[in-house]
Amino acid sequence: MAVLRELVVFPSKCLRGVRSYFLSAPLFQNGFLKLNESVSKDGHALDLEQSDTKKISKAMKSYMERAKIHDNFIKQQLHEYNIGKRHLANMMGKDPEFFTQADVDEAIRYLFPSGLFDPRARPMMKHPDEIYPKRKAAEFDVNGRPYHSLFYTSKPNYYTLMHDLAVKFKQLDRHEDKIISRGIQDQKPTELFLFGSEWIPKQKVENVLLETLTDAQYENLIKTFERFSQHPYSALEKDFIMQFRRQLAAQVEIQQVPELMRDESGRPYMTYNTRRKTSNAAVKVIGQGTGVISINGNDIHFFQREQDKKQIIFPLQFSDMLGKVDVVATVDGCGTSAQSGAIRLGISMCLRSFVNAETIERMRLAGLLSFDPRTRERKKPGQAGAREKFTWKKR
Amino acid sequence: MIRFSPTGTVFRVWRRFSSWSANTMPITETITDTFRTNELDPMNHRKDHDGCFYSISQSVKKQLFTGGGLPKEYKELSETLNGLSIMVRKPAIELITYLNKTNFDAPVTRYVLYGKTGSGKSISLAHILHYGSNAGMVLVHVPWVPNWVRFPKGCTPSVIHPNMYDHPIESVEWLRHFSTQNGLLMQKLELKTTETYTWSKREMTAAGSPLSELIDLGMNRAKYATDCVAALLGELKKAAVSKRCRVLVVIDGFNAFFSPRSKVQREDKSIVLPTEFVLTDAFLSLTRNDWTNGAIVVSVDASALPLELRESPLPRYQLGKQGFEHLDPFIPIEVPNYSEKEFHSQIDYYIERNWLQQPKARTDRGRAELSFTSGNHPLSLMKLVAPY
Repeated sequence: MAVLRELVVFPSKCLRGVRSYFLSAPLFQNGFLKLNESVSKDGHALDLEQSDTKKISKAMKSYMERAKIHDNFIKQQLHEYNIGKRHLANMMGKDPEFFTQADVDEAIRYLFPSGLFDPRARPMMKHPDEIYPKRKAAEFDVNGRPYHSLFYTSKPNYYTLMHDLAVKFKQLDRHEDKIISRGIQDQKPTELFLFGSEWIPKQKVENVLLETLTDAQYENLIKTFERFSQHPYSALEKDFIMQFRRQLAAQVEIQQVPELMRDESGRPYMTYNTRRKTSNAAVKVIGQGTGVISINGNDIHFFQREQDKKQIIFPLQFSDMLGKVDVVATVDGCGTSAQSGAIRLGISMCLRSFVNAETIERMRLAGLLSFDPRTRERKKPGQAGAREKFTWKKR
Repeated sequence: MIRFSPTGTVFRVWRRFSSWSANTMPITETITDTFRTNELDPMNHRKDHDGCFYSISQSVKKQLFTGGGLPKEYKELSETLNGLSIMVRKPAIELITYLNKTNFDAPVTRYVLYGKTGSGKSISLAHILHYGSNAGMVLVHVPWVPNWVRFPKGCTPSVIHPNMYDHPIESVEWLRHFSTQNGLLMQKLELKTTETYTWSKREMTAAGSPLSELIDLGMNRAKYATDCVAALLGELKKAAVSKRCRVLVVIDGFNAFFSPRSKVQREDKSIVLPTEFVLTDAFLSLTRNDWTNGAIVVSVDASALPLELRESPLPRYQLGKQGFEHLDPFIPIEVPNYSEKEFHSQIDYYIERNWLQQPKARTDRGRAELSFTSGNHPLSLMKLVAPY
């Protein structure tokens, strides 16, 4: 009977880590990825000798042995860490009971000053959890039967994620169908706005999934995500998608966009003076227009080259304001490229006041709102030009 | 992204989850079918036909424009697009309205078409030419005056008029052009000369001989061709005054007659002014308002003048003092850029002829871009949509 009781108690008592993995399936609940990254931290007191060894599969047995070694190792490391922490606290004259990780970092910085550039190369003392990679908990029970239906794919977390994506895609389709069948066609679909962030790299995905992926698998995942995020109603799954995206380099705070002014006839307008190389442009963009453009009193044919005309049209087209605003520009100095470049920046800057913040951000990312600082490079003495040298002849 | 079935049920467009083709968005084209008119007779063109295309039959094209009259690019394009079509535009409608209401007993009215180069003056003149042909008028048409001033194929001192210059080859060409345009009509009218023209000791055209004889003589004897042209124009003027025929004078690039220089040089290398040509004299005499039963339509264009004289397209600037005083009083008619309706009509035409093939250019966004980059200027638009 004793043996039997042990067997009944065994899973919940000893393999809490394994159990928790089982309970957490399906992996994704409420749109959030719940990943089982727990190593059985509380330490399996795996006294296998007490249980009936014949009923435990070989796989389970070897797993338990490995887990035991790992746990012991981590336990040892943790012990050393705690001892070290106490030593440091004593050295620094602080109370060891209330010595935090921040205090540890400070003490190490003070006691082992380092001139090395890379922070990762400097001396450090961290909690073992931060230093040693996490391991997957057992994926099968004592009989060697896997918990997960996708266990034999060898990458259950990855394929669960893919499967989940497909299910969600169909859910969105059904949602769209519902909206169409109710005849709410004018309700605008809310596609997700993904500017300013990018998909997390393969390494990060692997860390999240606790599985190694091939390049092809990663590419497949990203393609699927991209298709998913292009669904007209993808904004409904924003939280889910954003887990797999990271923000690009710190976004510049949107500068203070000036308020629109009104002329005598009540039309809104905005002006901006700018330059490019040595040309100066004064641009006025007037709202409620029909797309009339005037450059130094001429129409678009002030510029003869196609390229210059494209420069002028680009910000208007990009912000979808073509034909909705009028432009009056005066420009002088330098050549046509510089003149059209100056007008382009002027129009873009003026258009900020006419469009929403999202479009401004898109314009910023497209490089429309940045000043072009390039100028002509001076000629150097002893040279033919800025960089070019005189022809060299031996004699 | 919404699709309609024949029964009116709405479906979501089938979106494939497992393929990249999901990214190819359907492109919506917008073509209106109102860009053509079935009214092929320019005499009936009214404001309702504004911005519509009407097609000109091959035989009429051959009759009217064999010797010139359509700009080269336009003619080539019409051949590529398999048929000549002309857009009925405001200036032409205005002119047609005036011509329909003209009192032909009064001295001839002069109309001057002006506008930027490439805005469609020559096409409007072609339209008027077709009108005149349908109205049974004798057409006196000069396709492009600068051809006589800028690149004459051979200019010789006149035998009859001292200090004047003849255009033998151009005159022969023009006479041929005149007879192709008016051959049938001239046969019907049976106009006769009113005076005797003596060309040399042996050659003469007696009074009362048909005008075709005069034309044939000019075409066969290049030496007398220029004087034949002058004689022919004088005879037509007289015939018009005596109400035997009605004359429509159409001259493209009229301001070239008053150009400050030409490519023709005397033996001492001094430049011969266009006003010293016999042809100029003849056509200037025709464009005076000292006759009746006719109409004069001329166009002035910057490209007819030397490079430094192209600042303004306005008639006073283009004609200069001399030319302005010659034509005064006249009715100026501006040929502007395309209006929005005309622009869309033109794009519809290009799409219908499959000339505009880029799918994105056929959308509203594409149209907006074309409209902006061409500035609604007809020639720019034509160059913009051309595949080179």
